[in-house]
Amino acid sequence: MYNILVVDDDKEIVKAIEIYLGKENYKIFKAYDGNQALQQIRENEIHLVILDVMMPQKDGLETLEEIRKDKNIPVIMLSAKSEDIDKINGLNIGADDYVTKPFNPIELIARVNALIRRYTRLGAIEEKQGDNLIKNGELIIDDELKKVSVDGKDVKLTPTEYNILKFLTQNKGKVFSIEEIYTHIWDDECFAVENVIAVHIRHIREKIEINPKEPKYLKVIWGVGYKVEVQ
Amino acid sequence: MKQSKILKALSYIILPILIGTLILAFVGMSLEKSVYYNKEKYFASEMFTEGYISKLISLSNELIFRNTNYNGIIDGEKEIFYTDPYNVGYVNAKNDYYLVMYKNKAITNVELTASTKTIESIKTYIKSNPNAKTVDIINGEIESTSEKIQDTGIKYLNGFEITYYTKNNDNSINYITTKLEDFEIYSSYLEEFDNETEQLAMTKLRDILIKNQEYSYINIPISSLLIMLIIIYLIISIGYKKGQDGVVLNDFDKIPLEIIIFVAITIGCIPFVGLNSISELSEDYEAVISLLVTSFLMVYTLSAICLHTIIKRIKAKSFLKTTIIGKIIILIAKLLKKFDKKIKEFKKVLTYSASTTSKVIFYFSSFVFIAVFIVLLFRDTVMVFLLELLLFGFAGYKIIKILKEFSQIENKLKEMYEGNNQNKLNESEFSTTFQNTVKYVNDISNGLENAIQDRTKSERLKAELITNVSHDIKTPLTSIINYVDLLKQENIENEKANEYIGILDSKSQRLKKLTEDLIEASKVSTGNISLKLEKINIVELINQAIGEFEDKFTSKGLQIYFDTKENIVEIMADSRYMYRVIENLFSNISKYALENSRVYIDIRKFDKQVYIEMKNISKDKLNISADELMQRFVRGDKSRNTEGSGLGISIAQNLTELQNGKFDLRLDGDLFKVELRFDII
Repeated sequence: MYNILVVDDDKEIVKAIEIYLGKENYKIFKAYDGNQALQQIRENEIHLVILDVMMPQKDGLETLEEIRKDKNIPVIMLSAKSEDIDKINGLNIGADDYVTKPFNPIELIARVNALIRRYTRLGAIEEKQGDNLIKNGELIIDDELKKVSVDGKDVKLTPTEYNILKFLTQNKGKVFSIEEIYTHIWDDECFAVENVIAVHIRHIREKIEINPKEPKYLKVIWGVGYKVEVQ
Repeated sequence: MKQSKILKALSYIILPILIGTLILAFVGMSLEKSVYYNKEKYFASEMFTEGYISKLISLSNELIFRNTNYNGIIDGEKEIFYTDPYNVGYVNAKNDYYLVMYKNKAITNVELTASTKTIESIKTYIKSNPNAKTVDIINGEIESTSEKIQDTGIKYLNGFEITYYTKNNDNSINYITTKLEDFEIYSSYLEEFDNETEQLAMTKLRDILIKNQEYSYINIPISSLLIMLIIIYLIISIGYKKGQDGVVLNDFDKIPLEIIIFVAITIGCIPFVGLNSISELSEDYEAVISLLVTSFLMVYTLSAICLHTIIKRIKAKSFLKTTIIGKIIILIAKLLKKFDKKIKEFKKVLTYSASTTSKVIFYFSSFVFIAVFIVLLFRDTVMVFLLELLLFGFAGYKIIKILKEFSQIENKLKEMYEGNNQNKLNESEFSTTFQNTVKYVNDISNGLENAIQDRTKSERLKAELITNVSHDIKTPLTSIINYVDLLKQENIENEKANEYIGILDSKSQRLKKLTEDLIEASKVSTGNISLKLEKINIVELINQAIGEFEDKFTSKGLQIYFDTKENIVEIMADSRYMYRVIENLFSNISKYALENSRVYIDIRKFDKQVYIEMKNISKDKLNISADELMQRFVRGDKSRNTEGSGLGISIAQNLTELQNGKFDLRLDGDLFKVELRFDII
């Protein structure tokens, strides 16, 4: 049972999140402004905070700064602002993730789960390190068992998808065009089958990413190619 | 001290004395140095020697040519002529006598009386004064008791020769040349100045002055200093009177200066006229001196009066006003000023008020007038050519200048037409002809710039407003979406309720999409986004996009025909925004294309540009123009019932244009065609 603090000045939103996360067996603590949130964190053992940015009195960013002074717990920022600059600001101050309103409940739950898994199992995975383990952040490919896991959760990939992801993860940070990926995977000349690779990539993204449109691991560089982002 | 009458009067009295003393000191000095006015020096000088010998030579000349007008006596075979003592001669010596003989003639200035009627008696008379110096020239030799003449006189007789002719009976001419040896000359003089001469008068004056001469070295500087001090004092104090402030002009000071000076000069001339005539007639040098003193005092008084009034006038700053010339100058200046003002007014009228036609008529007629005037004035001289050349040059220069300025204005207008309002015309650089035009153009330019700025500002404000409102909508929308979702998860048996929940779900999702697109559309349309242009391969991008949309296309039964001969076509674009363009277009296709139809995507290279063309068949009838379709909030069916916000095409178009591309949308029946165009790099 993990304790999650939900902070938002809109009580209905807090309640909705409570319902969703309650179904996932999390214990919910509620706060409606920054000061209450800080008090809750002091008084209870909180494992994760969902923090709205725009709040009266003390806003989310200020609250986050206060939390970060002595706590290392994961924080998901929640905001109606969807601009890149807003996200970058939040992540810079020390947020672990950023979800824009109106959010998809399933996505929010997935992000909470991922963060909780990562936060609580910290260090456990390190023991399993072996020669056939390809690791990039929370994306782990076990080449021996041909298994892939993200945030500690196993992902089922087709052999082609597995090969593409393995190739890109082995060369993480490097951008490959469709043609290069094709040539490498099939060891053959690429001819009018370009979007086959693009479809595979999309499928991989849908499987390993919480939000495939804003991928964390497998990124699309439009008009150039694809790459696995170094974590 | 300035106002003391006594001091001023004293100054005026002392001043002439001092000036006189100074003059006399200088005169004494110059007389002392002069040879001409010093008896001892004069008679021992070359000046005298030369003069004396020359006198004898000219007497010889006179003797030879004195053939007629006999007024002398005959001694034996010799004719003796008497000459007036002042008739001949350059020298001034007392008891100056001479006898010149040649052949049967003799000339003398000794009076021919009973006791002097023979040559011998004349000779005796000449030699009778024991103090006299004698100069005799006999057989070409000089014998003189004056050492100077004895020593140097002969050189003035060098080459002595007189040629004359006599007529014979048959009218033929005999030329006869005489030499010094042919003459016999006897003369004597006293080394004293003759009574009636200026030389004697001056010598006497010198003798008087010379007595004080030893003090002159003190006298001159002291007098000069005092004169200067008095003059400075007078210059400073002139014009001030007791009990009155400032310089006071009296009636005399108001008389035109020229008249005063004219009268003064006239009066001042009178003693000099007298002096001139008297010095010729009178031998009374004392009278001359008294006259000189009088005239000096007169000149002093007159110039003192003149200078006094001049200084006063200058001090009162009325010098120009109280002279005739000054009055004329002032009058001319006034007239010029008036004339200048008139010209300026005329110019102003011509520049600002007159119509272009009247300006042209004025300039052209003045040009013709001047041209004709020059021809009439100089007729057919070279000046006509030169002046006409000058005139035509000037007119040409003016025309070129006007044309240049006109083209400058035209350029500025062109800039404005092209939307550049940055550069302003500099009014001062233009001739008066264009002053108004330049002002108007600048005003319009400023107005346009302001309008554009205002519009940009209001567009930005609008974008900001939309963004803020959208953010505010998002928060309640979150609750709506979430609770609709929660409602969906409740096991509701009522079918109608489930149907309503479904509607709520789809509409709340659409509202979410709408607010997101709204923010983007407003940002994109105002250019309020930062682009990171880089080299991207458009073929790769289309392939990637097709991959992304494969599911959606397949679910509608749409078949994609992507046709291109190229593998790599590189353009400069922002990779994310470029995908957004394609994504919006593809999303449109997936929503509005006729199900189970074909979609054609072509990439062609033509003339350094790449054309990306997408064609599909519309599901519904398109009764709307392409332009309307590209406007925000407009969608093909106008009913706004279907999914999507209607902003997709507008966003795509704006993003394309922001990335320097061209966006073209064509509708042909049910054919929906989009063409993007970018420069290939």
